[in-house]
Amino acid sequence: MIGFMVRHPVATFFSILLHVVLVALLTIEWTEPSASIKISATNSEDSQPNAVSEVRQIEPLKTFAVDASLVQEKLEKIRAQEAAKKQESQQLEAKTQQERARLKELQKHQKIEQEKAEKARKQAIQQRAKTEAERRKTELERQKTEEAKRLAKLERSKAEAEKVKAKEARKAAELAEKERLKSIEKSKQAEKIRLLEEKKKRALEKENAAKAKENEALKKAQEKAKATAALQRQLDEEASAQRKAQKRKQLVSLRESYISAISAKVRDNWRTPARISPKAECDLQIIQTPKGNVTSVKILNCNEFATKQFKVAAEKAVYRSEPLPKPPVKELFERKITFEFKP
Amino acid sequence: MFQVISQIKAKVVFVLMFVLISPPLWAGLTIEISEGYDNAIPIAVVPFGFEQQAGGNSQGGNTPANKAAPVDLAQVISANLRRSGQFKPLLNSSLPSQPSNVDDIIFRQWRSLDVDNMLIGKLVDQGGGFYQVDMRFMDVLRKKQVLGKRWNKVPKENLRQIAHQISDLIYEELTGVRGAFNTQIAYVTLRKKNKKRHYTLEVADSDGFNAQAILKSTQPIMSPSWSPDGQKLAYVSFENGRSEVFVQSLDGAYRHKMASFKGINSAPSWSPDGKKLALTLSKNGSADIYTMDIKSRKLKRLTKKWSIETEAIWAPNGRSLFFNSDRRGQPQIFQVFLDTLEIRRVTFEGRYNANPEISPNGRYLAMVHGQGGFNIGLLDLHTDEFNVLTDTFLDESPSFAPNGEMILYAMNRKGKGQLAVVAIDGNTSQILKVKNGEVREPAWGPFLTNK
Repeated sequence: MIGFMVRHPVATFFSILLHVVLVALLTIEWTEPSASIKISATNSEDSQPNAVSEVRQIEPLKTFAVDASLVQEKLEKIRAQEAAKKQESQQLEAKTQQERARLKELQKHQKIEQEKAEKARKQAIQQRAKTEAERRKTELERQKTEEAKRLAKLERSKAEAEKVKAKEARKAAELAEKERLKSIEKSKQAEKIRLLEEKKKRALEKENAAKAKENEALKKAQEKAKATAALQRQLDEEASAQRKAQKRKQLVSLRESYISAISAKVRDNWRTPARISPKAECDLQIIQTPKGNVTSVKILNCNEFATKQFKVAAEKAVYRSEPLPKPPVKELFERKITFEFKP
Repeated sequence: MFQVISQIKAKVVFVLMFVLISPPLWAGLTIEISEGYDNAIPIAVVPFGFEQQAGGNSQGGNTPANKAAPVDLAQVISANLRRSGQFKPLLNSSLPSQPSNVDDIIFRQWRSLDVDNMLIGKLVDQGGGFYQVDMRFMDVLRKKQVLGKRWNKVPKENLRQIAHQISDLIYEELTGVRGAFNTQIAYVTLRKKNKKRHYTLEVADSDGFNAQAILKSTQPIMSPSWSPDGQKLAYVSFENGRSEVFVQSLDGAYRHKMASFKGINSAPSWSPDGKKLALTLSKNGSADIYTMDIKSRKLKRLTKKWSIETEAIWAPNGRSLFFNSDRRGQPQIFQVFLDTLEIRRVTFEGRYNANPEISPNGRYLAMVHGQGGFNIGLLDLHTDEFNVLTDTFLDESPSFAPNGEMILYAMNRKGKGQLAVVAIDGNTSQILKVKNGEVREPAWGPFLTNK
């Protein structure tokens, strides 16, 4: 129901409003005829103007509460009166109590009879009849009122019950609302908490993520640093290797130039009366002293064009080249040097 | 034939005798080196030590101090090497010392002279006109002996030959080519005496020494040709008023008239096996090439043409001959194959190519090449490369040294016939002259000793 109300607050509002209007209408309906009663009551019981005003001022339901006490008193009075007119009233009451269903008819009948009587009395004894009718009317009225009161009471109780019920309902509704609100609040709270928690969680997660990210970054940075270091190391190594290679290359090229200087000097000193094929070629293996003096010359790997004269002339050219050129760097000195010789 | 004679006459006219250097008495030819290699190799040829053999049976009891060596071997060798154009022997005056034993050599001294090799030797008088020759050829750079040889009981008259042999050994050691110093050359000299011409066929050592007259005549002698064994000469003599071909042994044992046919008998050439002669004969009309079996005198005609075919020489393998023919109008060299008598033209360079001569290895063909003047041309039969080797005047009669390194030829200088030698690469040349006369018709003989 609360869910319904929550879902349809306008409908709820209108239903409540309708209830209130209905109750108000009921009250107004009942107040209207009671005006005459009031009047009569005012007429008969002046002692309770406050009540009347009070009735007027306060809510209709309260008015009933006040009326109820009045009715009680009146009922006491009526009982007292009835004590006086014991039979009739007892009969009437018994009749009333016994044949509630026939009451109205009886009343009607009485009314007709009363009217008849009245008509008759009107002409005859208007006063008496009037009074009697009045009294009866009052009695009826009172009975009616009583009945109405009872009904009202019933209604009231019913209304009360309704009210209570409504109240309860309201209360329940309120409670429910409250509960709902509470629950809403709670859920809100929970939501809030949840949100908070979620937020927290998110924050935590975020934090964690950030942390992780940071860690990651740190790790990455570390790795990067590591990699950079490795790279640097590698670069250093490479650079050193390169330097070494360069130096080696340099040495190799120096060595090449050293050897070519030797071979050039040998070629410069090459001379022979022999007719040598331009294709003649041998490897010369020279063993030298650090001062560049030739210890020995070996002629190796000659091709088919290298005659004996070529070999001898080559060997002589080596000796004639003494002292052999010195190496550009001391460490390049080689005791044994081999190179390809082609005049 | 008249052609040839007129050619010679033209060269002989207006000859002036002019001897620059007074030659040794025994010298037939004077050799003048006109050109050498730019990059001749310095070499030290130390005068040979001369000793009397201790306890030798020398006659007369002369002390060694008084006796000079009969032959200056070092000088002969030095001249040979110098003449080759490939070596530059040091002058005796620039030698730091004159060791004759290996132990006496101070290599340092020679090294500083930029000398690679040195020859030292000893001549020992063994008495009785016999000598012992000892030679050591040293490598100054490697400080070691390269060659060493000793000859015992060498007669005095053979000492020069020993010197030539030593020259050959050195030459071969250094160049890888057999030396041709120990060889002989034949040539014809012309001297005028009392307005008469005297022709002499001579044979001398390759250095022009030891000249010997083989034949003397007042009539022209032409075209000497060595037998492969070096013992005989074939030549053309006009001694009988016309051309005839003779074969004569150098020791004078015999002289045979080989061809005396009607017409021309000329241009003899020995076959490599020494059993045949190639000849130019015109007994059947025009001059043609024939071969003659020396023993049987049997002829074989190789060419049958109206044109002149002459000057045939044998290919070293003996299977073909090169000859000169004007069958195309101008003289060119042709080749005829003995088995099929097929003939092919060999020279195409220029309008005149005659007088062919083949190198001992069969690779080069030397010839008289006419292009404005007449010079010696060389055709490489392997590559067809042709070169003119000489720049002398009216060159003729090329003849290869037996090692194929040089070409001896006749030329004309100042109107006088002289001989000249040119290396086959054209790098060196020398001139051989004769005292009081002209010299022509050279032929370089074969190796005198078997290797």
